Amino acid sequence: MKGSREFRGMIIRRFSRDLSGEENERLKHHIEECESCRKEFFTHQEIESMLKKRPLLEAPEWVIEKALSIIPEKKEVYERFYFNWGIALWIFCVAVAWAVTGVTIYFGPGVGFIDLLVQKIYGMITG
Amino acid sequence: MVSGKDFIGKLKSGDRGAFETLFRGYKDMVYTIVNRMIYRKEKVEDITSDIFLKIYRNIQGFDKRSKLSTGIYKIAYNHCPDCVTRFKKDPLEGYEPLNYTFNLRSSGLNPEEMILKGEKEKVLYAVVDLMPEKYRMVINFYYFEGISYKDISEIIGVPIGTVKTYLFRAKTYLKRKMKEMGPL
Repeated sequence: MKGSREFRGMIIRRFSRDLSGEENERLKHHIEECESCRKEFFTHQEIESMLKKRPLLEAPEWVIEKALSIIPEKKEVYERFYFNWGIALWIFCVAVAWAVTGVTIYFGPGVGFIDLLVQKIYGMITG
Repeated sequence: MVSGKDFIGKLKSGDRGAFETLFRGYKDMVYTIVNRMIYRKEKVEDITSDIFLKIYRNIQGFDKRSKLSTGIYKIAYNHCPDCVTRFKKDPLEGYEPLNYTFNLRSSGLNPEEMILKGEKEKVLYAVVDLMPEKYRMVINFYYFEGISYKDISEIIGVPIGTVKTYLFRAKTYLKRKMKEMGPL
């Protein structure tokens, strides 16, 4: 039948779930009319079902026992230090807060706190 | 089936019980994959065991977002070509499916008798095992728990379109071979 080659390709793609809805409909109509394509469809369907039910082989138990034998009962845990920007920022803020608190307590609150601080530093530098 | 982010977390922390569960869960699947991939059948058990060790050693590289099964099949697939290369001096030596096919042909049974004896599936599986590796593996993975195109493409490292092409060609080849040999 005319166009059968195209439909034979579609039959394979149909079993690979690779057909659009429209293509599926076209194929459905075609195989209702074309005997050779219908036969082809059932051949692929048969192969498909045989492939799907191919059984798994059973592995001997020692295969996993051998692998498990090298895994320690309790794996040593190596703690790794990962640099974390969030934690670093938090530590920095706490340090700044402590420094400000310390300086404030040392010099005392009141007017001229910054001036006193500057004078103190200047005095330390110039001796 | 063993899976999930928590389970991968346990594996990454080195939980031996989790590895035991994993190995038991995938034992037959990995064994089957290896059996369908390599020529030297007497090496299948050792290779399967080596793959599980490789999974243990590489567990830190597993992505929690990916499927655990895909990662395992990928390790198995990538481990096996090494084995094939290593044992490739005579690829057909000890290749059971070939001998099996030969026995079927020389058994004196006609196709109808083979069908009656329920041999059709065995012939098909022998034909699959005789296919070139890339087609054989796509067919095996696709019908193995219905692994998706995307996962197959990740396992064997080719684009999804290529997986589809391999599958298309493999099915065409299978149908042709089955007709040539008689069972269809």
